[in-house]
Amino acid sequence: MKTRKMIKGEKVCVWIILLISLLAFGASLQLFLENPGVSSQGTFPLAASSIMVLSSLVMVGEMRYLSPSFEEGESEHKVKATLSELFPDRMTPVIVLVVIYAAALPHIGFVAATFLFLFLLMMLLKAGKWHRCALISAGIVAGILLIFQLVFHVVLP
Amino acid sequence: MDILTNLLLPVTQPILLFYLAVGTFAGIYIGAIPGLSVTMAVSLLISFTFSWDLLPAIALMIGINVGGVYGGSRSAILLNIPGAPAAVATTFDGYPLAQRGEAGKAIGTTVVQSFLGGMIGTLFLGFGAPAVASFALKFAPRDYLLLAIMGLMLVGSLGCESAARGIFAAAIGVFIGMIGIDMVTGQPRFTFGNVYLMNGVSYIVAMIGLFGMSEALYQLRDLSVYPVKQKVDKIIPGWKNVLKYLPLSLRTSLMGVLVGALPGTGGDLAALLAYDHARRTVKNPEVPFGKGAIEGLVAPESANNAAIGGAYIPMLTLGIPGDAVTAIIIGALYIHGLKPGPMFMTERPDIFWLMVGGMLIANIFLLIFGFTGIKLFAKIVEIPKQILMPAIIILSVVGAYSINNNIMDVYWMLGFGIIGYLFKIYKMPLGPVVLGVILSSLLEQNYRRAVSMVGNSIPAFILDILTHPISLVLLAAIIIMVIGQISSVRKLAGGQKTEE
Repeated sequence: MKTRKMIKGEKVCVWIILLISLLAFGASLQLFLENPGVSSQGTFPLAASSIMVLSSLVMVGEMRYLSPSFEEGESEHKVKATLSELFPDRMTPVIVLVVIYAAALPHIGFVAATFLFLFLLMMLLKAGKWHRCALISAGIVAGILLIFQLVFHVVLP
Repeated sequence: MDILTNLLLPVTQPILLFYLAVGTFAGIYIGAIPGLSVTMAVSLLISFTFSWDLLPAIALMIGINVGGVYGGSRSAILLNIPGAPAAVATTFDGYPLAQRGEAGKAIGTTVVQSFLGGMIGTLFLGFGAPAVASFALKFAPRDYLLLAIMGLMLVGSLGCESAARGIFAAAIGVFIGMIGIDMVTGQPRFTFGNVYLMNGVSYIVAMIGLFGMSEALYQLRDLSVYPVKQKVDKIIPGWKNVLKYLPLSLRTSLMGVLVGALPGTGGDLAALLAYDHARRTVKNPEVPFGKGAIEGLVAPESANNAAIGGAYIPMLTLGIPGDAVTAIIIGALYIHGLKPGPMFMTERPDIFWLMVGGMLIANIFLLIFGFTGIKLFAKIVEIPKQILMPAIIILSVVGAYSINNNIMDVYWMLGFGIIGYLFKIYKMPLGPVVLGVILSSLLEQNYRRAVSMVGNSIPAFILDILTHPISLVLLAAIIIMVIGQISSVRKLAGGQKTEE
């Protein structure tokens, strides 16, 4: 009997982690070889990345204790099922909106970008009718300006 | 008599009492707002208190420090965003409690425990400063290295289903912490020619991204779960409850003082060690650790506030800051013409005892103000996810930007947020990543110091550890922890084979 069911895409995730660990190890080894020594700039990264590689190898080994994530017949659509596990329903547009917001911040300024982001995100998440979303978005922006800029003199993006 | 006069000075001078009250109150709310840290608040304070008289400036800074360390627990409990690194361990059980509708109970517990820890830390500062400072002086770089390894081993085993996942998370955190210019050789490490990376990755950016942003994204996965109505009718814990957890609070407060007194460690490591201590010694908690155990709040909250008093010990008696906040306070003291160090208690005993008295009173104010605004704060968790999560995303953006006023920090925070989101889905722990980033410089600096002290020889370094009692005890503790983790893995594997 296995402990728990594997999460869709977990096996791929663990293999990616092993790959990243190996890349980190390779880069650390290169750094270490530039100036080998017990207290050189590459020693500690080499130690940390070695632990990363070892622990991710153990994680790969541990996968055999988990039950398969896909039922019979489901395996044909593994990629689609994994993506819907990672980004269900509105998650893809949410992440896209976050990325657009971050990109727009330096161009249109904090107030406009934040208001638009909040308004569009709330509309996407169906937080209420458009005027309610606009009002709440404006309230949050005003609150942040009041607390951060006026009271604490924090520089906003 | 002089000691008593100086100790009671904050009580006898209403203006000092006023600044202590204002500082503590402001500290609680600054600490509770994600993105505003105690370190930032104290550093901002210096800019406008350097022209003040010495005593009000000290009173305000002490108040903010005491209030702010406690305040960090509020956002940890309500939003899963630690207000300060010292509140990382508070998220482990505080946030699950809020998700069960018991945010009021959690906040009430943290107030009382922070008060107890703070008072114990202050008493140690007052009566044990020379003794604790001389003990802390016995810690050599190799001991700090072993202590940091111990801290990482602890986080690696905290609240995750596999030790390998925890250790990987801690190791990747340490690796991330090494990005940037190497302070010893001046060589860039893993910067790939990127100017931004030369300064390294800010642990605050990592913390906001991995805890705040990722939580907001994770919560948005399922909007069908409605916010839990918070019980805020009985916030103040009863005497019976306080007494029940008193032995644990005393033990973890003591740990907080000792760890806080070790220069460069501070409340984050203290809280973590205390949490692990609670997890190992409390055999049958009413609720399991990681699911909302009260003991999981008692231990880190008493330890991180006790660490304040502990951190002031090396600051005042040795002139060495115990953590980031005391590093700023030491700067402020220099601005006001004071010279913290071995002669401080001889030259300016009045200021030393005033600081002790101020800290005692700030803790009393913490107990009073700590219970204010709980109903209002608890309401935050009741706000529908469709409104609360976008607001948390914005707070995360503002918090990340405010560190260096650099838009690149926002992008890194978003990157950490997405990594954290994926880690959450695949049951990888996030706490060890952040603590790995925080502890990486402590680890590396002390490793280098330790090996250079024995002529850059690994055999001599090992011999050095084996021939010093403190190092030997720490090494033995690490070995016991490793054996414990291996045996628990074997037990798990054995059980699985039997079941098969």
